[in-house]
Amino acid sequence: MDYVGRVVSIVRRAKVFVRRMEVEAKGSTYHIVMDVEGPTDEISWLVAKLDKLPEVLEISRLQQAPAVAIALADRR
Amino acid sequence: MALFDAAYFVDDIEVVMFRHEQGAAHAAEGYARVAGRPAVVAATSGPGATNLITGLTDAYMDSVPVTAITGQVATWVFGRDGFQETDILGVATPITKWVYQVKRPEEAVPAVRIAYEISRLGRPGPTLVDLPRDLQVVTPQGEAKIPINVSKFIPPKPKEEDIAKALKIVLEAERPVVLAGGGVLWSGATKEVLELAERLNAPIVSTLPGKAAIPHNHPLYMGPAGMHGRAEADAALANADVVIAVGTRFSDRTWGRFKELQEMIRSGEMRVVHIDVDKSEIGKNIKPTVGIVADAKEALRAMLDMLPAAAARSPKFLAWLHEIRRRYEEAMEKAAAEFKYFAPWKVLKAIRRAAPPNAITVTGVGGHQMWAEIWWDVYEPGTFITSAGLGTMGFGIPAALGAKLADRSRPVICIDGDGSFQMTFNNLALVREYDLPFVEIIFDNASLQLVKQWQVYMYGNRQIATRFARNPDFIKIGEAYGIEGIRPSTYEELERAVSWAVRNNEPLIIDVTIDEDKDIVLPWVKPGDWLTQAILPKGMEDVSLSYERY
Repeated sequence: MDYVGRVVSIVRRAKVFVRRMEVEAKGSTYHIVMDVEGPTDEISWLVAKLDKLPEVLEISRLQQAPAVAIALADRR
Repeated sequence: MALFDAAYFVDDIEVVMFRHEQGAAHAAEGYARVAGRPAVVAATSGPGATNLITGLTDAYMDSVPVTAITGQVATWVFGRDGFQETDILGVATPITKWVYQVKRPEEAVPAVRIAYEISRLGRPGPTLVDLPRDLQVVTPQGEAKIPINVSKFIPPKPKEEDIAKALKIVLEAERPVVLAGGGVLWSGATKEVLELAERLNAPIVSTLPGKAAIPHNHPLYMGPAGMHGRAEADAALANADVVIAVGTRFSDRTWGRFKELQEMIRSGEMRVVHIDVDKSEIGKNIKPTVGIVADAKEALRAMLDMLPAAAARSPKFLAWLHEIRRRYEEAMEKAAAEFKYFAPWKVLKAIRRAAPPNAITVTGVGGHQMWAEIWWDVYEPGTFITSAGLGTMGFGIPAALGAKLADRSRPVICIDGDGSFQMTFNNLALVREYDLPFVEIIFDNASLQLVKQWQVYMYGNRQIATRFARNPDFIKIGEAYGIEGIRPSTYEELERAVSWAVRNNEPLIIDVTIDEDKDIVLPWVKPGDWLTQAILPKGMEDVSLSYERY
């Protein structure tokens, strides 16, 4: 959960409201899906900030707004 | 224990024992800023690890590459509140570029290697590897793969369309200003910044970390802008119609408040080109007209290659800025006459005369640091080291030691305050032990001057917890560590003392008495004010920092 903790540490500093956050271990990665509410620029900043983490292998903004999906490397 | 025991058998690791882990972390910062590569700082678990945190946060805020290795309790004690157990991973998570706890012996070597690499790649920053005690004594069977993506720290090439957009804006500008941040220094982009400014005939302004990137004797450099910036630099930034901001995070300390800035950008009164290696900085505090994610040197080179000969701009704006500078320096010369003891800015001038251009200058945090921001002249890039983002008192002495460790051939001068000095002077023990001489100059105003200044101006002059009723004898403290000291009575005596120490590569403590009741750092943009609202010294009442009224 170390990597998930790193993600949460960044999300909690963004000026967004987190409506939902799901974490699921899939094979060798953790998948996180978040529904967040906030200004578009703030969500863009959050995505850019999360993408800076080297343990974030992939990140995308989903079509159904506003959602962010993250694939994290496994640390188990 | 096992890690240090292993170091006993390795010849090419120089272990330097600081007297407090915070000092070791600041020294690693000083080392990295001079050497241009990370130093490794190691501490034991629990208090040793938590004592590193201030230094690591400082490195995070100022983008300095430092790699920390912390000890940890054995894995079978994890989470059970073992002796000296701290969840250092949890503590360090928000203040590191990467943090990793080794869970298998095979991860130890790759983790340290990756941590070192990440700390220096792209925008530099601190990393930490936590090593549990039981894993330190196990021989690894090969190396584990740590699945992370380091390549994301390699700066992308600047996009051609962004460069073209930026150039269009720049060419249309009447009053362009180049704002240089700390990223200019890490990128090695000083030459490109100067060339761009010269070709545009644009003033250069810096942030506090960016001050180290620009030679101050360049005619287009106006100095650092912001809360305690130069008046002419504040004026330049506030009245620019185009700002080319390079390697800076648009700190509130540089801009005062963002409201005016955002409104000026929204209305088109000011346009901003923001170049930064970190994509999360673009649009974080202000939304630029054009954002360029790239290494500063590469982006500027691309702009310069495509920049046609610019039309000559009216010299009126620059002349106005130079007139503000003249008025400020004239006013401060008059103000110095009112000081019974030493005036801080004149002290800095005397030290500068005695120090060679390549001397490395380190500061503590407080009033003396702000005076140095305004008055210390940097001649060679990278020779001014300060704690800018976090503002960590006590930074000076250990960072000076780290700087000297990185380059013993150059003089190191620490401009310190009596408050800062008392936070980390225990590290003076290393001066004789490791032969790390530097000149420690204490701006002794018997107070936490900068906080007191806020109390005077913003809290109805209610001064509390900012005056030292009784300071120790700093000269005797120096003697205890085998370091000579003096308390000069004239600027000439001060200059001679610095010259002597530099010439002979000798450590020296200089206790400079400052009139604490007159020591008010001006200009000052009060928190929440806009740059043109800077409080200026007596004698500048008729000077406006708004160009329209000129």
